[in-house]
Amino acid sequence: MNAIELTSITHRYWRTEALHDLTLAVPEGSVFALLGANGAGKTTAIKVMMNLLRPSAGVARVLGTDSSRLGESDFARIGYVSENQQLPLWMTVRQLLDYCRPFYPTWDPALEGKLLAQFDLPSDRKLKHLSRGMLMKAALLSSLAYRPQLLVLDEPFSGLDPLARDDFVRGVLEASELGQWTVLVSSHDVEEVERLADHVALLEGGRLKFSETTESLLGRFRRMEVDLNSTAAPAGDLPKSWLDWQASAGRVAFVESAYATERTEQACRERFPDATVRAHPMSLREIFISLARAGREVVRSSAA
Amino acid sequence: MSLTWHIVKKDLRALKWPLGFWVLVIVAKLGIGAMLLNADGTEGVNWFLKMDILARMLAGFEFVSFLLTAALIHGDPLVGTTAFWMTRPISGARLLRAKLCWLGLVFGLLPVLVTLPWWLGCGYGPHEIAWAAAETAAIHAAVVLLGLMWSPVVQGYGRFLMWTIVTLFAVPTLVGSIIQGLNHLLQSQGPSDPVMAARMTLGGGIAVAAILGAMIHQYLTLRTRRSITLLAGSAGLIVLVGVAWPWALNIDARVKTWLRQRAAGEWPAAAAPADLKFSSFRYAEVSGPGGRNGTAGKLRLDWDVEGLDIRRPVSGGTWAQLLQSYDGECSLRWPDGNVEPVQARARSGTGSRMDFIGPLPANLEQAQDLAAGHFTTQVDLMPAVAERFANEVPACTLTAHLRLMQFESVTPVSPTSGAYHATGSTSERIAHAEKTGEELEIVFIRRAASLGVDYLGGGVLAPPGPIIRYHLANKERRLVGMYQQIDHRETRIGTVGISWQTLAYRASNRPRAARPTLEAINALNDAELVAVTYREVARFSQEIRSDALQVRRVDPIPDHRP
Repeated sequence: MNAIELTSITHRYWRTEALHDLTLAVPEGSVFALLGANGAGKTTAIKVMMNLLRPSAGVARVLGTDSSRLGESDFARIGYVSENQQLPLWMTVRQLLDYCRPFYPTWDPALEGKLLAQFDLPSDRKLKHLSRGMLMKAALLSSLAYRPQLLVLDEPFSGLDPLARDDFVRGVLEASELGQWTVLVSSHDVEEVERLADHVALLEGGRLKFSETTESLLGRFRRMEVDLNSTAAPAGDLPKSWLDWQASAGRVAFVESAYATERTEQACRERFPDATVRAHPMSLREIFISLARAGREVVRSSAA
Repeated sequence: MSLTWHIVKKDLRALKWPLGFWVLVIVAKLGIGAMLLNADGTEGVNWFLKMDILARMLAGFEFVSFLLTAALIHGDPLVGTTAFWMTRPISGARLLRAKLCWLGLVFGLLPVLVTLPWWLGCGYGPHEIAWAAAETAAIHAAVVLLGLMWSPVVQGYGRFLMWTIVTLFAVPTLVGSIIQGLNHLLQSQGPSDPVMAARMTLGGGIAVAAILGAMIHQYLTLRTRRSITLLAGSAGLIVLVGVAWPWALNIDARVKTWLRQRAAGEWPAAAAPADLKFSSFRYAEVSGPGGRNGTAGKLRLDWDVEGLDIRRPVSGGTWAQLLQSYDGECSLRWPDGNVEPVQARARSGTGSRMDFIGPLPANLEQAQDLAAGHFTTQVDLMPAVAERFANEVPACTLTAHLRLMQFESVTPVSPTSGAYHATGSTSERIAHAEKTGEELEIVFIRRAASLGVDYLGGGVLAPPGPIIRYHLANKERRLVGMYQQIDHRETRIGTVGISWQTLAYRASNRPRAARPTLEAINALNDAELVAVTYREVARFSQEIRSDALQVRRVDPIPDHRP
């Protein structure tokens, strides 16, 4: 069962295509990270999901409802926090919570109190006097206290200092332990996402590069280092799964994006018969950078 | 409904300071009204004038409601993708209901509630309060509609103000320019007044429908481009109607008929008293086109009434009965059978003369044309009609709307500060009285309901209540001397008309500039101030026909203005 399903979503801003034929599924109960560089289409995709934008083509379903028909009862089950959201800054934190509470039948005052203490938010301070990190936490609190089935976080770390990021991530992690909900988080801040996500999707230029579990992703990417005993060039064509190729005197490094111990070792032995090959696990951030570089290389070569 | 009310309360909290300021402005304006009504008369008319200006400025500040409306809408923006409410369990329909409730409460109910004590204090009855409340709410509704025109479909105050100003300027300018251009091109005189009235009414109706339609559409669909298209298309339609609508819908006539029925009020459709006989016109004078009144010509109609009681119940005063014409309709039937309605300004002429009930100055006392029963009605003529009089003589029908006033009493009034007379919402107070030489100077402060509905037809059709005039009388109850108006100012605060009038009374007919004489001073000391009261005894309409006017052409009053 999927909390979110996007099927062939395309969205154009006038002549600019922000999303192209995007098909994506966010499994229920997952913490799903939507990654991509700036302008990749993450926010557009989320806005389509939240019915803030109408897709030019395709269908988005959120919690089983066509996103263009999301109504009051649907939004009562969805939490949404975005860096761009215009909060009513004239309100105090307490007033914000008081305002939101009646709209949600499932609002849990005990959870509200717990989160308020956990996030260390000054309830009598106006939102306009809060720091950016505090403001995001206030928005998160107002989106968690009713135990939403789906929590959507759009670039929540943007503009936050490291301490505030850490606080925020910890807040989400702690909150996620309190209930069974699906979390969709979009970000270009891969390190923070790595701590949160069990599913990852990468958008590039409005197109989906991949979508899989973090475990599988981390499992199939390795940084390979090859110490060459001769100066001979690698024999034969290089596999397409080898990315970010870097060669220096006596040494070659690349990223294997389809790592399988035996198969990869065999492929290396075929191309570097006398070489010593080492495989290093990669972080999500390193994978992200490798893929971004590889994408640029493709663009450059196709342009050439 | 509770969630809708929850949003209303949130918006009330959000705008509490501007709203507080707005209410303060209303209260301050009414406070000025109370100060004016309770003035002791020594402040001088310039003080009254300053207070009047201040009250008008405060009344202008009330139109801050225009900006408050935009602030309310922009509090939960409908444009863009970042509004807080859009991802909360708040539907557009609920938000729309909440905003409309807020607008109704704040700009409909609140000013009425704030002004209610003022109306009650001014002696308004339930009927007057209902009209005053409707007028207050309607004025604010018009301002709110302006605020609603662009605020749901644009982001930020800057764009809202810019587009509102552009629209308010562009549409009338475009209509006016096209009409002027067409008139010039076709060598025509342009649309008639009734057609223009129909165009304006239709244009206004389209504007209201478009503003509300676009607002509702935007709230329910959030499709900004379509809402803007609706507004722009309606603006185009308004221009089209303003330029090309060919039919008169007799809106002006309908409004007048309704106003007459309202004015008839407690005197519905009465026939003329049997002892009054009306005779047709003796002659007509036509002036124009040209002269001081622009291109319009003037038709002066004279007619007679017999049977009016012209005895003088008070020696030196006017007649026992007065006939006051408060409105009139006139139509001309030309030899070719065409019947043309023309605007009759009945209040000038008969109205002003009939109001003259003071002791006549020497020179006027001998003027025989003031004899009872001779009336004059002035009729405005369109230029083409005025020119037609040169070659043709029409038959004329005048329907005069009249009220018969009957002398009631003459009672002494103590010429001291504070003397007060009130009937319902109308009151009259001697704020200050002072004898200086041979002159008694009195400052009157008057109050009367001044409802906008009475001005719809261009003026108050029938002022309510009795006519009371103050005069000096000697011991034999003979009105003596004369009075002269020193100053007179009027203002209107919260639908209540307030006037300040200073009259200088003398027991002799000597000019003001003359040096006081002992005889005149003694005459003043021997005289007392009396109030002469006439009450209304009948209100009726009378049709007066003339099959062949005797037309005399007179030169229009020259226009010396640059």
